[in-house]
Amino acid sequence: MSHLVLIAEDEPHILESLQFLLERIGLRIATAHDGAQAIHSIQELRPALVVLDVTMQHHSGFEVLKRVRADPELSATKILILTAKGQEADRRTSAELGADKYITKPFSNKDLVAGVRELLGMEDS
Amino acid sequence: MSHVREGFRIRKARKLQGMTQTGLANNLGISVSYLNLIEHNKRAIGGRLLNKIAKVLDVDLTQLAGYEDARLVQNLTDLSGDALFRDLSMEDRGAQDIIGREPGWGRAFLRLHSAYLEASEIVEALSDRLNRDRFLVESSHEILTQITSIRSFAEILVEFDDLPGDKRQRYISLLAGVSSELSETAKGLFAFMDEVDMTARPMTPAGEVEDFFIGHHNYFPALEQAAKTLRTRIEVGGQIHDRALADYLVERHGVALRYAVPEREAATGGARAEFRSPTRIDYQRIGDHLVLQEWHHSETVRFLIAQFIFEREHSDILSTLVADERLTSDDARGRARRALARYAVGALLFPYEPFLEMAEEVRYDIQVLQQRFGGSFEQICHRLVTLQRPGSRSVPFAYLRADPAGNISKRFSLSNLRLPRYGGACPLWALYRAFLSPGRIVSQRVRLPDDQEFLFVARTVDKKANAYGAAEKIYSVMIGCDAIYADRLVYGVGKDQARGNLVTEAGINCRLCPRPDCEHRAYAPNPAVTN
Repeated sequence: MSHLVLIAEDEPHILESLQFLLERIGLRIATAHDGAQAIHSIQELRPALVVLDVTMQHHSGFEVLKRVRADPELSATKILILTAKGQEADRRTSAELGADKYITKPFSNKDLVAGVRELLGMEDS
Repeated sequence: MSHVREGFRIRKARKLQGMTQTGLANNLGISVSYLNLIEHNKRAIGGRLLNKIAKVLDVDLTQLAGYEDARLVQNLTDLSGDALFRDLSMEDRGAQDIIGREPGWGRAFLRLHSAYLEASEIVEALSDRLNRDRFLVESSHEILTQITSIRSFAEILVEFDDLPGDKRQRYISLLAGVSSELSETAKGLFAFMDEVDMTARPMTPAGEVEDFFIGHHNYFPALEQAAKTLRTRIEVGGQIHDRALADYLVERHGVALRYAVPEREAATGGARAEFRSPTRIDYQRIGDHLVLQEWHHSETVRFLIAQFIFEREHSDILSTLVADERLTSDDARGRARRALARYAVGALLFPYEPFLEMAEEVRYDIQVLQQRFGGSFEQICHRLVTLQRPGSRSVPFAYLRADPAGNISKRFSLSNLRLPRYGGACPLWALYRAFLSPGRIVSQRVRLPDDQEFLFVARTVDKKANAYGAAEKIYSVMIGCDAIYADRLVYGVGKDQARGNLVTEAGINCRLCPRPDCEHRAYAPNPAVTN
């Protein structure tokens, strides 16, 4: 069975394009529209990878990241942070909180898909 | 109130009357030579003669006595303390001369300075607004989100030519729709920017030094390495004691340590050490002695000896660092050099890896770090703000030091906490609350108007000379970090609002804070903040 990826993003258009892209490379997709939903879905579904937007309602992406990293049962979960902020402080926070990768919006689809493949150990198509 | 010499005013009033010195002197019953001395402020005169002069010259006594002018002189004298003029020689008598001879110019200068202060506040408000304004923050986020959508769908349409017709049409429609939204967002942003015109550039040497340190992220690998190497030559048993420093000073530099007591300095027979004040932290080199004030605390003594050694052995590194285009004056370069030397001493006394490791282990408990490394509260806080080696960083802190009047004398931020550039900070901050509990650590969780939360830790520090009856100098020192790091600090325990603990609703300072109902508001907010 292919990997399950959770996309946590509160912008519906971006969520739609991400879902399209990742389903095209054979991944199963679950979605969350805010931080609280993301935490719940991660605990329930145990995805292999979470594509996590930072600026969400009801817990920011950093809060979600902290919770995931604090849970030993989720230690294998890969996390790719997606954010509009490109500031040094956010890059540093992302790394310190344990994100596996950090991509700044606006991103190219190619970079995003390559990042996901890399984190899931998938070969390039 | 400054004494304003009335001689100039008497001379001016006499000339306005078209009277000669001889004429006035005769009317007053005094000699011409005495009147000349009075007019050139070589003689002070009593109220009776001044009263007589006022009557003869038919002028108001208060105008002649200069009560209003005395106030102007005081204002001008106070102004000379502005950091903007620090590198200029401005003697008090200059203010008296200006007001005495040309009070109009003096008033013009005061008005200009007042306008400059107001303009600076507006610039700071606008600068802060651009960084914090909700509209701008949200607009920026909207634009990036819209561009992300457009780019992603456009790339999908180009790359995937096997898209079903309905999906292709949907994505094309989405592109058109989001492009339209982007246009509107951009229009709104440009309209906003048309109303704003700001450049906030540091004008003072202190501001240049701040920007220089921020530009380096308060981390100087050359100084860290030099300090690390120097430590291996000084330390004994892994520690740097006062004795080890003093011995190194003699063996390596042929300089002996001497402690100065002012009453005894006169009896030394040689050059006397003269310190400006017992609380001033500095040293003097006299012959082959390094002279420190006897009353300094041991942590200060250790620091000063280490600073002297580092400056002697690594002057080249300091010179290279201050040859930076951000430092545009000798004053700025001198300040930066001294600050870099103090940075290096922090690196020497609190070595990077062991200090960071211990800080993480004890969850940044400053008092524990003081015990383990032998530094003062301020020295430990200072070091905590420098732990920014890539790949091995501490929690990113901001650092502030203020006096009881609220004046901020040191400020630095590596966190996303914006610090006020002019004037004091919000009176609700722990920085000031610490003065209510001298010597005790005050910790606080603060929410700013943009909903960002921070953890503050503050304590007063006493710069009093270590002797009975000595003058006191008290500051409050504060470090702060984004509340996201609260669980890594021992001070963050119990500061989580989710557990029902209080969060202080605060601002940056009154001028920049839009909270209309704050009971602690000292100034009306700048209109640029509330518009």
